[in-house]
Amino acid sequence: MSARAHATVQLPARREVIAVLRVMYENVLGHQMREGRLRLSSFPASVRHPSLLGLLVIGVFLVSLVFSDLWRAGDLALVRATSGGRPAAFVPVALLPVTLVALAITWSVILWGAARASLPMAAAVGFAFLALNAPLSRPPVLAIEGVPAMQVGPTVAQAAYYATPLLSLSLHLARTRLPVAVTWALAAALVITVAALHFVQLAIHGETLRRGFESPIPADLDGTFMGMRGLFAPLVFVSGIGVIEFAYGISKAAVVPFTGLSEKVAVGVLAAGLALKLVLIVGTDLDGWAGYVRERPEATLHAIATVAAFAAIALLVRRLRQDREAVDRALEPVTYTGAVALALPGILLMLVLLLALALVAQFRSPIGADIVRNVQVGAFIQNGNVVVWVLVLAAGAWLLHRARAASLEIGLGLVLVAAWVLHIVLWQAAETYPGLRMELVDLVFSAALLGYVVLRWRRLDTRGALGVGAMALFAWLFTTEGDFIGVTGALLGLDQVIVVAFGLVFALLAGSSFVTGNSRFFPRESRPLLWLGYLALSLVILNWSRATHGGDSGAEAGSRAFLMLGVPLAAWLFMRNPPVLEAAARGPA
Amino acid sequence: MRVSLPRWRVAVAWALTLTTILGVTGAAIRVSLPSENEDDLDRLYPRALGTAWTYATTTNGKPSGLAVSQVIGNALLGARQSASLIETRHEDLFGRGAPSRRVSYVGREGTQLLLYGQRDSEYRAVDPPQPILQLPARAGERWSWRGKSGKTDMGVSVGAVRSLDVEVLGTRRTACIEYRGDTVLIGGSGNPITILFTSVLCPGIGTVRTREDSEELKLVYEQELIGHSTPAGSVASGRVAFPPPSASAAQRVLTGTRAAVGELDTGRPLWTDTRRARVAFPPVGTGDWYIVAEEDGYVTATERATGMLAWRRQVPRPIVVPPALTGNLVLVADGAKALHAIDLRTGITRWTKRLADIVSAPPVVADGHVVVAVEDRTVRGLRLSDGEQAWSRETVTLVRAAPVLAGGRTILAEESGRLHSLDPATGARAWEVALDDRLVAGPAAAGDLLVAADDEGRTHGFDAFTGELRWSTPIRASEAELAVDGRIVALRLGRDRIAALDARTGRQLWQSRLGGPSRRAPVIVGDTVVALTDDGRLHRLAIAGGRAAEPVRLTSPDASAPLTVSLPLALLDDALVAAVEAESRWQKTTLIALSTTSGGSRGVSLEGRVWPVPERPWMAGTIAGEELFVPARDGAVYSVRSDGSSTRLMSGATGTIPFAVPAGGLLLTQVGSELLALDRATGATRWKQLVGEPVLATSPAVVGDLVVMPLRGTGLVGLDLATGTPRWIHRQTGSGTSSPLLLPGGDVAYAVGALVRLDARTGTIRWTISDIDVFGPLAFADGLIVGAGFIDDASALFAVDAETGKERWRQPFEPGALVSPAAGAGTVVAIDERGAIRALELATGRHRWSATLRGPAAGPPVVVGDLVAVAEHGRSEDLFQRDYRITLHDVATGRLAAAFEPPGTSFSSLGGFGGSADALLAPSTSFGPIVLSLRIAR
Repeated sequence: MSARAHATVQLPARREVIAVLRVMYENVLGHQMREGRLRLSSFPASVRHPSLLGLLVIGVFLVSLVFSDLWRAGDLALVRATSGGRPAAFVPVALLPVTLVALAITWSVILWGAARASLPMAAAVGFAFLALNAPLSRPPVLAIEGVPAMQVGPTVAQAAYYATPLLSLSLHLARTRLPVAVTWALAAALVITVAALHFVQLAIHGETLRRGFESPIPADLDGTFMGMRGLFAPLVFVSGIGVIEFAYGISKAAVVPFTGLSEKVAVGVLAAGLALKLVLIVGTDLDGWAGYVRERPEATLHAIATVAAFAAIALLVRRLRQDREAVDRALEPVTYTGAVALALPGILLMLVLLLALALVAQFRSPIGADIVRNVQVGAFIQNGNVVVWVLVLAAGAWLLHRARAASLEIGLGLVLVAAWVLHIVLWQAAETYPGLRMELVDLVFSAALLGYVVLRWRRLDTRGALGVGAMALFAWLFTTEGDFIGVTGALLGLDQVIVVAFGLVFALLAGSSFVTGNSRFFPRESRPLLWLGYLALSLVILNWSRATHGGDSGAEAGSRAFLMLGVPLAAWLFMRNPPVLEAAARGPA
Repeated sequence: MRVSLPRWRVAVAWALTLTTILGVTGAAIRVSLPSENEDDLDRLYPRALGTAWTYATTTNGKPSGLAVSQVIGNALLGARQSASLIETRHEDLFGRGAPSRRVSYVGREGTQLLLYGQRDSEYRAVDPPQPILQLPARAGERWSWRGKSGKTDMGVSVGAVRSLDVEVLGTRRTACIEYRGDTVLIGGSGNPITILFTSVLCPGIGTVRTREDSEELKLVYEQELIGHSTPAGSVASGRVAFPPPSASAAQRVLTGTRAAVGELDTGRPLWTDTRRARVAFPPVGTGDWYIVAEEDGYVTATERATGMLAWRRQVPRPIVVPPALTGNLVLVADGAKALHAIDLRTGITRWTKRLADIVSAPPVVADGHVVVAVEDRTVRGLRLSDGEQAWSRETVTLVRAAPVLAGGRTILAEESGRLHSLDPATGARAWEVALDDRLVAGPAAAGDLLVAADDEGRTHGFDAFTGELRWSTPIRASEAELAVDGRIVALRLGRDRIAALDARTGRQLWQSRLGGPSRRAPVIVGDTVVALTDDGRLHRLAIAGGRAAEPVRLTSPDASAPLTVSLPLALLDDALVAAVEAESRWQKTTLIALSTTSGGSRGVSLEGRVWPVPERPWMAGTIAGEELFVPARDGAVYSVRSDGSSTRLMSGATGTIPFAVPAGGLLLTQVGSELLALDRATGATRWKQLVGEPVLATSPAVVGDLVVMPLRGTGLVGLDLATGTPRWIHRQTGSGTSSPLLLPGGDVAYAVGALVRLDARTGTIRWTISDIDVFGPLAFADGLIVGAGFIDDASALFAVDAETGKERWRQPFEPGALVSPAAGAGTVVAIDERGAIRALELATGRHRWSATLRGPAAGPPVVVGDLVAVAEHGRSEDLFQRDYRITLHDVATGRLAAAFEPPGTSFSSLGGFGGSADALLAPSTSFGPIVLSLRIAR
C-alpha cells in the first residue's frame, strides 16, 4: 500500500477533499496500476514498437467492439445461411477489409513474438497459425480467365500459409546465429507472407464483387472465426474478473469519505442502509420472491448454502497467516490460471477440430472428416472440465501445503476456485443442478451482514461498520455482473459489451504485470508481443462475432466467468483481504 | 543490446507505418464495397428485386382494371446473360374480360437497357435484344431498333421528347422524361400494325404513365401509376383497389391441435412436395394454401387442393425468418433489411418496409399491427395496412425466438431470458419478467399459460396475462421450440429424449427415449406427442404415459443420398408437415404432409433415379428392364444402363429422331425417312424400311411379331418385326400426326383423316369414323378410345366406343402441341394449349375437375393407377428457373398426391415428359443431361 495514502490528516477542507479523492483513486485504480500495469518502456525498440502496433489494434477494436452496431448501418453480406434452427448471420461489408488488415498486423506481431520465444513456444505458435488459418489457405474462387486474383490467388494464399510458420521458425533460429541483415530480411519476408495470405482474400473478394457475383470470402472468414471462437473465452474471463476487481476497488473507495463519522452514526447508517437494501430488493417484488422461494426451494437453499459455506471457510482460514501484499500478488496468477483452466477444454476442442479441418482442407483427409463428424462436443467439454479442475485443485492443495506466504495465497485461491467450479460442473453433469440466482445470493449475504450488525451493535466501531458497508456494496456490484458499468454505458448510449471492453482495459492497466516476468520457456522479450497479439486477435474475433450477431458468445462467456470464477474469487478476496480494516486504515482519522 | 534511435526517426517511422496502415485499410475498404454507380438508367428503370408498379388502366377510355409489374427474380439466359425477371399481370387486358400474365427478361449492357425476350404461354426471344432505354437520358436523344420478337418482325423508333416535372402519388417529381415513339409489327398476314406510344419515366420510380394508340387495332390503352413499392419502401395513392387485409390474429403454425392422430401410423402421406432447392423454414399455410420459403430467397404459394403453384417470386437472399401468414398477406423478411407484405393470392407486393437491420424473429400480427423484432435490438409495431411504423421499443439483447400471442398481447423473449408482454397496437408493456439465465427454448403459449426454458436447466410456467410465475421445474430443455396445450408441455431433453410436464403444475409426467438424435421440438397432435429424429423417423408418444408407437420412416426420392431432418414439424390445418433433406445432386428438400384426420391420405412418395445421358435427349425415352433407350440431339440413340454407363447404338442421324422403342431383342427407331430395327446389344442394323419424314410424338405399335407404323402421307403399314417385310398397308390420309394405339385383343386404332380400328395382323378395318385428325397418341380405357384434335373441323376432346366405333361424347377443346389426353380410373385428363388441365368423366364427358398450370405442359398427362401425372414445362430459356414441375393428382378429384421439381430445365419447348405405369420419365439436367425416372411408392 502507498504511504501517500496516509498523508491526508488535518488538512484544510479543499485539500482534504482532494486527499479523500486521491485515496479513493488509490483504492480503485492507482494501487492496482502501479502493481500490475503493462509497461513497455523497459523493452527494446524491436519489441516495444511492434507491441505498440498490437496495442493500436486493441485500441481500435475496443472502440469498434463498443460501437459494433454502427457497422451494421451499412450494407451487409451473408456469411451463414439459416441452418438447423440457427439464424442466418450477416457481416457488415466494410468490416471485412478492416478485419483482414487487423489480422495481418496481429499475426505479424504474434509471429514476431514467437520468433523471440523459446523453440517449443515458437513451434507451438507456428502450429497454431496453421491450425487457425487453414480455411484461408484455400480461398474459393470463380474460374475466370484473365483475372490474376482468381488465377494465382489460391496459389499465393497456399504458399504464404506454409511459408509463414517456416519463416517464423527460421527467424527464431537466425536471430541469435546469423547476421542482423539476414534477420531483418527474414522479418520482412514474414510480414510479406502474412500480408499476402490476408490481402489475397481481399483481392479475390473485390474481383468477385466487381463481376457481380456474391463473394465467398466473408463466409470463409466467418467459418475461420467460428472455429477460433473459443480463443477469446479467456479474454472475456479475464475482463470479467477485471470488472470484479474494479468493483472491489470501488466498494473500498466508496466508504472512504465516511471514515469521519462517529461509531453510532456509522453503525446506524449501515444498519439502515442494509435494511433499506433488503426492503428495496424484497419489498418491490414480494410476490415474485415468494413465488421463487416456493417454486425454487432447492435454488434458494443453494444460495443460502453458498453464503454459509464461504462464511464457514472464512472462519476456517482465519488461522492461516494473512498477508495483504501476498494476496495482491496472488490475484493475477489465480485469475489467469482460472481463466485458462476454464477455457482449456474449449480451446483443446477447438484445436482438435481445426486440425481435423486443416487435414480436410489441405489433404482431403477422411480422418479429418471423421473427427469433425464424430467428436462429442458436450462430453468432451464436460469431462475435460472435470479433469482440468481436478488438476487445478491438486495444484492448489500442493501450493497450500507448501505454506509460504505467496504460494499459500495462490494455493488457497486455486483450491477455492477449483472446488467451486467442480461442484457446479459435477452437479450439472448429474442434470440436477438447481441454479444459483446471484440476486438471491446478494439478498442472503446482505441479510447475514444485517444480522451481524445487529448482533455486534455495541461492539462495532466505525472502521468495522464501513468495512461491512463496503462488503454490502461489493456484493451488490458483483452480483449484478458488471451491470453498474453497463448501466453507466447505457446512459451514454453504449451496448452491454462495454462491460467486456472495460474489464479488458482494466486487465491491461492493472493485471498485466506478468508481462515483465521472465522464464526460459517464455522469455521476457516475447511476452508483450504474444500477450498483446493474443488480445488483439481475440478482440478482432470478438468484434466480428458481435458485428455479425453470430451468437453472443461474449455475453455467455462473461456470465460464465462471473459464476465460475467471480464467486470464489470474490469470496477469497473477502476472506484474505477484507475491506473491514483496510478502508478505515486508509481514511482520515 | 539496446539500440536507441533518435526520436525524430521513431516519429517518422511511426508516421510512415500508420500512413501505410491507413492507406491499405482505405484501399481495402474501397475494393470490398459493392459498386454503387447508379446512373440514369438504373434510376429511370429500377430493377431491384421486389420492385413493383401498380397502374390503373383504361382501354378506349373505359377502365380496364389494374396492371401490376413486378421484379420477381433473376434470370440467366443462355450461358452468360443475366437479366431481371419482370412479371406483368393485367386484371383485364384491353378490357377483354380475361386476366393475363407475362414475364419479360430485361438486362443491362453498357449504356442500354435491353429486352431479351418475353413469355406468356410460350417464349418469344427478341433478336437482337431490343433497347428499351439508353443513355444519355435527356431530351432530344433518339434510337431505333428492328428485329424479331419470336416470329414477328418488329421495328421500334423512340425519342426522348422533353424533361418535365410530374405529380406522382402525391409528390412532385422532377427530372422526369417523356418518351414518344412508334412500334411497327408485321405479323403472319404481312400487314403492318403501327402503335404510337408515349411514356413518362421518373427517376427512382420508373414508368409513371403510358399511352398506346393504334388505328389498325382501334385501341387506345392508357396506364397511370397508382402504387409503387421498392425495397426501400412503398407509396400508394388512395385509389389503389386492393382489398384491405384482414386484421385477424396471426396464425401460429405450431399451436394447432387435432382431435385425432389420423393416419400418422400408416405413413401414407396426404401429399409430398419435393423441391430442388433447400427449404429454409417449415411451410406456413391455411386450409387452402401453403407458403414455402427457400434458401435462395424464393417464396412460393401453392394451392393445397391441386398442388398448383399460384406464384413464385424472389426477395434478396436469404429469407431470414419463417414467413408469417395473416389473412391475405404473407410477411417475408429478406436479407436486405426489408419486410415485404405480399398478397397471398397473387404474389404482388402490398408494401415493403425498409428496417434499420435484419429482422431477427418471425413477425406476428395482432390488433391490426405487425410486431417485428429487428437485429438493431428493437421491437417495432408496423401498421398492417401500409407497413408504416406505429411504435418502437428497445430491448437489451436480441429477440430471436418467435413471439407468441396471449390474451391479445404479444409476448417476446430476449436471448438473455427477459420476457416482455406488449400491447401490439401501442407497444405499451403490460409486464416483464426475467428467467434465471439465457433463454434456450420457447416461449410457447396455450390459453393463459406461457412456458419458457432457460440455460440454467429450468423450465418455467408463467401466467401469460400477468407474468406471474406459476411453476418452475428443474428440467433442462434442449434448444428448440416447445409444444404446449392445455394438458401438457412437451419438450426435448438432451439429444434423444422427449419429456412431458403437467401444464398446470410443471410436474414431470414422463420421459421417453427416441432411439436417435432429434434436433427439433415435438408437436402435440390430439392425444399424441409427435417428434422427428434426424434420420427421418416419425415417433408418436401417447400424451398419457408417453407410450411409444412403432415409428414411421419418412423417405426422400433420392434413396442413395443421406437423409437428414433439421426443420421443425409444422401443422397446417389437417396436415402435419415434415421436411426431410437429402444431400442429393438433383433434389434437396421433400415436404411430407401426413393427415391428422382419418381418410385423407391418398398421397404418394416418389422414388427417383438418375440416368445420365451423353447428349441432350429428344425426349425421355423408354425403359426396358435395366436399360433406358433414348434418342439424342447429336443424332445418336443411346442405351443407358442403371450403373450410369451407356452405349451408342446408332449415330449420324440428322433432324428429329422421334422414338426409340424396344421390341424383343430389337430397338426400333427412325432416322430421316427410314424406320430402323437395331440389335439392342450391338446396335447393328437388322433391317430398315422407308416410312416418310419423322414427326415428334409419333411412334410404332408392336403387336406380337408385327410392327404397326404410320406411313407419312399414306396411312399405316404392318411390318414383320424380324425382317421388316411389309405384311399389309392401310391407306388413309389426313392432316393429323397420330400414332397407332394398341387395343386389347391385338387390334390398333389410328386417327389421321379418320378414326379407324384395324386388325393388326391383317390390316382389316373393323370400323371407321370419318373427319377426325388428332395430333398425338390416342388413349384407351374402360372400352373407350379418347383423342384430342379436329372432329368435323371443330377442335374437340372426344370419346368413341372401341367395340362399336360409336361416338360417346365430345367437348370443345384446344389441345396443346403434342400433348395427347390420358385416360384411366374412369377419367380422361387433357391439357389445353394454355396449360389448363381438364378432367372429365370418361363415360359421359362430364366435368370432374380442372386446374391451371403456370405455363404449357411438358408432355402428355400419364395415368398411373388412380393417379395422373402432369408436367409443366417451366421457362427453359432461363437457366435459373425452377418452374419445370411434375405433379401427381388423384385422377378422380384432382387432389394433390405429390409434386416434384426436376433439376435444371426440360430440353425442348415441346417438352419430353412421358412414362408409363412403371415409371415417369423426365428429361432434365444435373451436371449434364439426364433422364430422371420416378416410381410411385405408396
